[in-house]
Amino acid sequence: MNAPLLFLNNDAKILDLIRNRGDEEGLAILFDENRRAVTSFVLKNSGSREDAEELLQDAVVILWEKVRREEYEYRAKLSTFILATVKNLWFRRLAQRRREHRDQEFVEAAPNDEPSPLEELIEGEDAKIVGDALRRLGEPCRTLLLLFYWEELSLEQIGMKMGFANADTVKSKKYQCKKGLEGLLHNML
Amino acid sequence: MTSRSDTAHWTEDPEILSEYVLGRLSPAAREPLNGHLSRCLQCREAVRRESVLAAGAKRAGRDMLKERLSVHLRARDAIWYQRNQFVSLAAAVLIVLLGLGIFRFYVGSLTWPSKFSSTKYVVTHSATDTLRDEKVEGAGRGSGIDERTAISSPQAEVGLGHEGSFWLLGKVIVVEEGGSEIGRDEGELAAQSSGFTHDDSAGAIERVIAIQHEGAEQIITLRQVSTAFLPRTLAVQLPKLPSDALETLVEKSSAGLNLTFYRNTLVQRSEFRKAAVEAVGRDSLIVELGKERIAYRIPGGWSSETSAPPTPDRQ
Repeated sequence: MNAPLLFLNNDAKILDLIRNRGDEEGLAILFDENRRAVTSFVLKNSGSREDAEELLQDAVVILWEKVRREEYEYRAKLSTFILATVKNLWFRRLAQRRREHRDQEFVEAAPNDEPSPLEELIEGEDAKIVGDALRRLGEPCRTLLLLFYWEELSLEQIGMKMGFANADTVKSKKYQCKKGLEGLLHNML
Repeated sequence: MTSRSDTAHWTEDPEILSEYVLGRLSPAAREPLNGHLSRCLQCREAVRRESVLAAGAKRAGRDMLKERLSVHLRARDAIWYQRNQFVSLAAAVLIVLLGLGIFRFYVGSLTWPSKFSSTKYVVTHSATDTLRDEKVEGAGRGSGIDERTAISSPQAEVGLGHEGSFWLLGKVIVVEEGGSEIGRDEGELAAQSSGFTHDDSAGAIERVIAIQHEGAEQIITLRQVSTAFLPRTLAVQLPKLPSDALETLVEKSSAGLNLTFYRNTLVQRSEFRKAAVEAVGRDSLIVELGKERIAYRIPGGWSSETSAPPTPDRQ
């Protein structure tokens, strides 16, 4: 019998939704709860409402990825995590804009945690081309590659999630899927 | 794993390549691989391609999640909007009903005047037992009256033994000194009518007035009688009437219109001699009596086509 769980705090409920269902329901709750604080912060720091919405989306997605990869450790309220992430993303974005305008003064105030090379690649044009090709890729290849590269699940975890017999089967399927994706990207990269 | 790195090109192993790109290898495991990369152009290209694949997959995953989130939020907003819309509609209906109730209670009925302009009209109160209000026709052009009130009592149309007589409640407006309360100069009413006064056969004073309306002359006869002479059925209703209602017997005949006021306190003869009448449209009259203006709406109209204009003694 699937009895509904009683959560003593909202954070636990959201984390459970992300961890076990992996859908956007938990993120929507998080989004609503943090919208006002994030908007207020961004508006006070030379941003717009559109910037705030975008940053909040990025922040909840980062949380989602961390939870799904089991990298997230609950130390403070989720709203604290979200606001800290938003601040970090926003200052990094401002620094990037200032760098583009060669404003040395602001660069000095930029945060120290620079994005990884992979994160920088994500913003590039090549990643967009791959992303578009991946959307055109049929199932189950699209899901398999997303689980492997985006959620960074192990072959065993993917096998369990997608109903493959074992890791070797997943490995073989992944190889085929990758070839299919490369076929769609023929001469594009 | 490190043994694989000793092979000619470790990037040929897709699992090591993925783990390297996704940053899953320890620094110790990465070091020999990096050493190989520095010497192998083909391997660096393989790493680059794998990195772009991983980055593209991450970007697609994030974008798809954000799209689903947006759809979800829009759906929630739509539900919230629909709920609010329903609540707003209900609130609006409530406010309108409340407004209509207030309007009806303080101003009049909801029936729009059928003949009169929107700005000049007379509000009458059809006198049912509950004195339910009913808006009726407006004032005549140039009367200078924006809004007046008369009270009719159709339920009180008790026959008095001959056809064309009935009871009406007049609406009494007391004019303050200066006489400008209803928006006209003093003497204007008197200027619109002329008449004479005499004692009737019973010794009561009568005021006969000729008024001009649309080129025709109409005779209006005013009388006043004590309420002691009211029929019993009407006398018992007197305490229920509003203080500004004046019980009046209306008699229509070919000779003209007779209005008999039933009053607790009779107006002095000297005041009664100065009484004047103004026609407001075809069915409303304003009687000026001392400091009072008494408004009537006469069912069926006040004029009589067959009335023969007598020649009154002008005073």
